[in-house]
Order: sequence, then structure tokens, then C-alpha cells
Amino acid sequence: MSKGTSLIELLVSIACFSIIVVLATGIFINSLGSREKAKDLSRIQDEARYLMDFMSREIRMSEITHVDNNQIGLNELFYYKFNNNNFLRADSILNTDNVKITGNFSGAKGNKNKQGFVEIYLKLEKHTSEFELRTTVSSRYYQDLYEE
Amino acid sequence: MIILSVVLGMALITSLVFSKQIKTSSSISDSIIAYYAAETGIEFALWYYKENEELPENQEDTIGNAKYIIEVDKDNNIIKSIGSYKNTKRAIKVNF
Repeated sequence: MSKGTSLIELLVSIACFSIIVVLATGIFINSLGSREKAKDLSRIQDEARYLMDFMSREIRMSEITHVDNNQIGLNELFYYKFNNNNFLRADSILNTDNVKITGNFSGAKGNKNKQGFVEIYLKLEKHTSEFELRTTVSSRYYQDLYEE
Repeated sequence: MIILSVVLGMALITSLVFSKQIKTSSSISDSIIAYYAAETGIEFALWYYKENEELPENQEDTIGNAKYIIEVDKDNNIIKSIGSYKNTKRAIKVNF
């Protein structure tokens, strides 16, 4: 015989409902966090590729006149430099908002008889996402070609 | 009970979609790293050619945590560089 819903049944069902809602909310918040992370990662990947391509093209076309851990000089005219979580070309900061860029250079400068090359290491960070990229680029600037 | 199942199901599906998204982003990372490692191999071979007027021997080396393998066909002036990072491989072939 049914006598309706007892208080105990009501309490149990409310408890079940609460647990599931809390669980679902937790999963949802976690997912939103993952989504933000994926978005940041994709953003810094794009930025790293853009910087690497842009810089590589310029290095290939230039004479490498200076290389040290923090900066490279091209054609004795301008430089790429890591400075205080920023990446600079001449005096312009290349970072976009909230992206920290660190890294280093190594390699050898070029001259008339020797082709210069640079190994570039970039590390980009945005919130909790980070992405590291390394490559080597050699200069195609041969002074002897221009002198002939 | 139906409402509860729907809410939980929705949360699970959303988390699945987002975790897939983060997985895709990570695999793109590996691909980019492998590609630039392969490019390093090509740059090395071209640099070697300019310095020594001959192509280098087949070889492998590392750049950071990535690896590259250079395969050279001296008769046809073809350089192939295979960059790999974790389980991802990317190759570049140059002919001149």
C-alpha cells in the first residue's frame, strides 16, 4: 500500500541530486579550464611559428654580424633580443598580450668566407600553458656574390 | 532521475570534447617541434655543402629533445631530413 513519500525518501533523493549536481558542476568547471588551456596553447603555438618563420626569413637574407646568448645582430643594423620576458626586434616588442617569451641564441656569425648560422630556442608561456621550439637557421648572405 | 542523467551526461560529453581539444593541441605541438627539427637537418646539410662543397654523409643528431636524421642522395643532390619528437615524425626533402 502506498502512503506517499516519506521524509527519509525525500532526504535521500535530495542528497543524490546534490551529489550528482556537484559532480557535474565539477566536471564542467574542469572542462572549461581544459578548454582555456587548449586555447592558450594553440595561441602560443601560432605565435611561436610566426616568430620563427619571420625571424628565419630575415636571418636567411641577412649577414649575421653578432651572436650571443641573448641577442643576434643582423647586417649591423638591427637585432633580435630576449629581455625580461619580452622578445624584441630592434626596439619593438614582439610579444602579444600576456605571452611571456624567453629563450636563447647560439651559433656563429658569418663573414665573406664563412656562412653564419644561429640555433634559436624560444619558450612561450601564457597562463599555465607553455611551448618550446628550437631550430637552426643559416644565413644565405654571401658577400662575395655581391662583390663580383 | 532522467534530469540527473541528462545533466551528468552533458557534463561528461563537454569534458570529453574539451579533453580531445587539448589532446589535439598537444599533438600539433609535437608536429611543429618535429618539423622544425627536420628543418634544422636541412639547414645543416646546406651549410655543410656551402662550407665543404660536398654534401654530408647520412647522419643523425638532436636539437633539444627532438631528433633529426639526414639522408643524402649525392648522385642526385637530394637531401631528406626526418625530424621526430615523441611519436611524431615530419620530413622535408630538398633537391637542387
